[in-house]
Amino acid sequence: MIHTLDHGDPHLHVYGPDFAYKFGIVDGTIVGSHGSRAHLKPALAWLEENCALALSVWWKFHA
Amino acid sequence: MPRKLFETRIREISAGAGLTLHIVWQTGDSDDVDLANVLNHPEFSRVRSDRQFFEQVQIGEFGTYIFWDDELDISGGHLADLAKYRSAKIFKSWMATNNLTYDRAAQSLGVARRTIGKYAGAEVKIPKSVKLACKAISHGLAA
Repeated sequence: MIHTLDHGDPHLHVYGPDFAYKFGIVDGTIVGSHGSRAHLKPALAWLEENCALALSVWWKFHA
Repeated sequence: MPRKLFETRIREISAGAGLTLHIVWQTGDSDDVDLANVLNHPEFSRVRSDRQFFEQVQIGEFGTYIFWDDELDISGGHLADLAKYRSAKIFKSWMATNNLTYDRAAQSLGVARRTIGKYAGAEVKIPKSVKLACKAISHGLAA
């Protein structure tokens, strides 16, 4: 998820009932990770494939 | 489940005066967050100007964010940061009002001097127990 109102470098959040991750969009860095890490790998794999899309959405709201 | 996960997750939300939101976190803590200085994005103009719309704020999935419609949302993490900055400002004002140095504040609250620095610098969330202790000291109920 990319929030309309957010701060910092381009990033996205991945939420679940028992986990929350925050990834840098440009380089896929794990900025934050809380709770279960079971979904970390698939989330990162998604970001790797959809980096351009994620970045375009980020800049739509944070230009 | 780590407490940290729920510190930024929202249980209840309601609109207060102006552009203030009253937030109850999933930890049970609560904060008032003033959005007046952060809703600068043109996309948020309706949230700023239409009181009825502002009051229609809802909580997103897992309590991780708030939203007004599909493209107007704010993360719980961002709101928690805003609450932290506000608490730090109030804390520093409390220190000044009570004429407390970092050392004296640490002594009065029974915490390390370094912890006072973290409260004042909005590095950590100020626990409810500390906020209550500050109020007690202001009312002369504690040393």
